[in-house]
Amino acid sequence: MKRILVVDDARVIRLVIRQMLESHGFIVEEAADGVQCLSHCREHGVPDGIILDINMPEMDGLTCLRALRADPAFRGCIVVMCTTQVEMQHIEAALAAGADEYVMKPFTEDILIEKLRTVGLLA
Amino acid sequence: MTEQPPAPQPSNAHSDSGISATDYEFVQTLLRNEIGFDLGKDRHYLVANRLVPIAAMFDCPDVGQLIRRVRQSKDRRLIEAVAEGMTINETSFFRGGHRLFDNLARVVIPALQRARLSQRRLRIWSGACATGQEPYSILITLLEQCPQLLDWNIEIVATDVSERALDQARRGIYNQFEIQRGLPIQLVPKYFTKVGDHWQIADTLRRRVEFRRHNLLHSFLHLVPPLDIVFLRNVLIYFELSAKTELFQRLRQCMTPDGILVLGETESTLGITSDFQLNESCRDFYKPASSGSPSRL
Repeated sequence: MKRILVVDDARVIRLVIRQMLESHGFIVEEAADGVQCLSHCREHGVPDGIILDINMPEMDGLTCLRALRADPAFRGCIVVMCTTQVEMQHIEAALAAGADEYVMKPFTEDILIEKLRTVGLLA
Repeated sequence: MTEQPPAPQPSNAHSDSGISATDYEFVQTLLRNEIGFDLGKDRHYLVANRLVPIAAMFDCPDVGQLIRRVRQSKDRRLIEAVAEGMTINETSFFRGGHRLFDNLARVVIPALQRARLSQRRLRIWSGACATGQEPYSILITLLEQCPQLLDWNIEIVATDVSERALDQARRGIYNQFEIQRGLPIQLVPKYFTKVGDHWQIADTLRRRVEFRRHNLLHSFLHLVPPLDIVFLRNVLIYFELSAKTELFQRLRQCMTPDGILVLGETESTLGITSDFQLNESCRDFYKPASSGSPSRL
């Protein structure tokens, strides 16, 4: 079973995404900001995928993504941004930082699952 | 249109939907005659739900009144609005998966390209295109994966019976949910601009797809045959068997002998027609059978 780390400062969002992912057989782990995300990955090993919010305290998602991409230990981890930032410049910034996919909130379960399929996290 | 009995009485109304058996049969017949749509049995809820906006559009207090008005007036505008209101505009970018479109670029296009080196022309039809995501997905696939076709004359004609769906397709504007369905994020900055809360496909792409209103029960002649590639997906499942068979006959006559037909994942020609056969080298696609009786276009 594939491990997905859900990184979002809103507990309810983490819960909703957890339910969506668990119903498709993923093992779901959680972190509340970028700092927690990086430390979680170091402590528990690199997950197969990270679903990463952008607006978060301590460390925002883009800074976290750049840190993930800069560290060879995290190579191969698929990162799907999941955010309320829905302007073109936000998407372009995330792609430039190395995001594999981008989910705009609000979203449906179908959209999230299809995105995970597109990046190869789901058959 | 088939003559129908007088207005139904409330006593025979379907318990949940409020649609009487007589009204339901009338809509069933109308859809079969107008667009070949097989409504099936006991789908009163579909009629009740989908025709609510049409009833409002024509100032009818409810769907029952709308249906009775259609029966009495036989007004073409009303009939077409009801038929259009019942159509399903379910679609998404790269529907059916990227493998299908990759195979289009890697298997189908190179073969057709080799056979058309002198003409340097390809004609593609996206039938029942709804709000346009399919023809735009085809075009994006060609742009992304087939640079060798850059100076070819590629005609993409996309049709649907719903003028409302075609209006959106021509404008190429999609909401946040539509843009996220099937479209890899890398393609969004490349081919779309943000317009308010929506996303609009680039003018250069919009200009390359010709959208036309077309009823699949009618002649395909004006689609400028012969067609090299036909996408006709997830629409024949709503047709009665005889309508499917007849449509395949007409379609075969409009296609080049080495043309390719693409059906929906759950659709097949098996047991319906011998006019097309599965392309053994790539099972996503069908090809016209090598011989058969001539049919009307």
